[in-house]
Amino acid sequence: MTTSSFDGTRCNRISPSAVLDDRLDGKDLEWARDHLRRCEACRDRVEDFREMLLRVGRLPSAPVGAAAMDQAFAVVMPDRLRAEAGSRAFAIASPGATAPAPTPAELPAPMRPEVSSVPDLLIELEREIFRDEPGQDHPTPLTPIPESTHPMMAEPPVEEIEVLAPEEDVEPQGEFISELPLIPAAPEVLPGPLREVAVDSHRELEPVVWDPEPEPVSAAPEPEPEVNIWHQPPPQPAEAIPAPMSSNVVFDQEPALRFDEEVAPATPPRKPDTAMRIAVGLGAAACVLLAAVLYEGGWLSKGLHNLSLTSPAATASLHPSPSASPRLSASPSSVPSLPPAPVLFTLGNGVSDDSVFRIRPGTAVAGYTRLVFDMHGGGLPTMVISRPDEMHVAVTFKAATVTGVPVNGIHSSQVAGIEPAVQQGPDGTITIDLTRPVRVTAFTLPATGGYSWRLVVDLHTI
Amino acid sequence: MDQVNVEAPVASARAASVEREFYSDFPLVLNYVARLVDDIDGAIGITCTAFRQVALRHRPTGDGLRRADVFRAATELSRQALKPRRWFRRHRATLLSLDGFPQADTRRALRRDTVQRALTALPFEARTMVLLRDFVKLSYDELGDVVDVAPRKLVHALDRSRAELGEIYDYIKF
Repeated sequence: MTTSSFDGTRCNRISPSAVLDDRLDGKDLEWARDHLRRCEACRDRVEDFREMLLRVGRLPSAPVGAAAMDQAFAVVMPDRLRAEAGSRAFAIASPGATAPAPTPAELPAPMRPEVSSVPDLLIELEREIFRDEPGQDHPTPLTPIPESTHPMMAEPPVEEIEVLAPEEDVEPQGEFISELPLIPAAPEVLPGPLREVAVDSHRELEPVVWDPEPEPVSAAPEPEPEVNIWHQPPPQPAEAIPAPMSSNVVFDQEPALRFDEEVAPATPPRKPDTAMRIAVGLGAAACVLLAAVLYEGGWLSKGLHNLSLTSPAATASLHPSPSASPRLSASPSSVPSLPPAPVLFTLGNGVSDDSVFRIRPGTAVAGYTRLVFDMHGGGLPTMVISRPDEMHVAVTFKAATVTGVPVNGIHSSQVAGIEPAVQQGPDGTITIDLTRPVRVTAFTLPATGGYSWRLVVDLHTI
Repeated sequence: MDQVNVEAPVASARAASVEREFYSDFPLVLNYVARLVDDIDGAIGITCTAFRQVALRHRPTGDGLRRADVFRAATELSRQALKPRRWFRRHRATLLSLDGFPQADTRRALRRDTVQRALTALPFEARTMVLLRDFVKLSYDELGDVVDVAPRKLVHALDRSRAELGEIYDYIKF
């Protein structure tokens, strides 16, 4: 009782649960106390367990209000128990009258009228839960619910045995039915004369066609001539017709239903929505595959990008009036041209007269390409990283020299190449050509050790 | 001033006992199931179904609902609810909401709780034992009845479960 062996590295001769839950007594308890006094490892384990036990024990519980409890009680409790509990009330009588024993007819209304009026939601819930596999998923087979078979059966509150009388009757009745023979073995009790009907048990179900023309001997078995002469007159047309196997036909009466008005088949298909499930599943799989193909081919992002590029032009053509949109009227000439490149980052300290002297790949890490721009100077110039389109990233160095920058050893799946630097006045721009749309991150590093001031641009695969 | 006579309750002792035990145990079972399945939305339906099953099997012997039976049914239903869904199988709709129950707050509290996250990482059997013993505070006899473990093996099973929970908690607490 006091040993535990799930840890082979420390002393574990004490079971902390046995100590904490007071499962030790007698010599075991004395031995455990003695061991705990001497063994620090076991003492620590017991303390750890105690802390964990307290943490679990102090977990907060969600409060359940009275209304919620009433609703849950109405949903959960069977009708018989709910009726008994609901009839608990206090009867108020006049002072002079003696207190008679209340009869069931005189019982006051239940304390919770809403309880008796709430529909039985749990039956629907259970049916929904265990609909797919009624025999497998249900942990324990549910007992038959007497409330469903006898919905509003009045339960006399006189004796509890009588309350459960319908439930007790269910099983013997089932046994009795199962023991009943399928064909009654007492033909002598039938009152009238029997009519002979030819029945073929292997015959398929046929539509009932009431032929007005009598066909005396076509379907009936060939009778012996002696018997036919001795026993029967010439057959009557109505009786010679073989009995159809339809259950809707009653002889000598009008049929209850015409053949074309027959009811649905008695046994519906077990899972009628299986085909629908398969169809929906195949459709969903096709959609996923299509999206994956579009994503891998880059058509999806291109299409979205083209859509976003064309949308301003469409808006401008729809609203040519300058008063329609203040944003459009502020720069009407710039609308047909390409919009300015969106600025992703603006970095640097604003130092001028720097020069970029090298572009090199950074640390090789799977998943993204790192480009490092090494700079000479006393600090970092203002650097604007923009994206003219999905396939280009432009880095503009304000008041810095970028001409003639060597590009060394950049081989990447994201970078197609680096265009020659363009110096426009004091600013210089370096454009990175991409092979695919990427996500751009950037940061700067100060000059430390053998390194100069640096701009680091990471191109992540989307 | 008129004088009134107030009579005693006329309900049977069994119905009163069932009702009393339902009202005392329902919040505890609900919170236990919510911790066990880590889902307050499904816990309400499971708890109601568990009480329903036990109440339907209940016989008029004079006593109320057995607490261990309710926890046993709730545990089994939770186990069934946590079974992985088969391919392309319809999701079970076990959602049930109660009036005035702070469902959204409870859901957020479950997400934030480190101990709850450690409990969720435990295997189902270990989680059941820890919650029933330390959170619900069932006795060893009731616990053995619920989880179908012999009482002499309960100590070791609890040792393993609590040790595993402690390791997971130490791992994720920061």
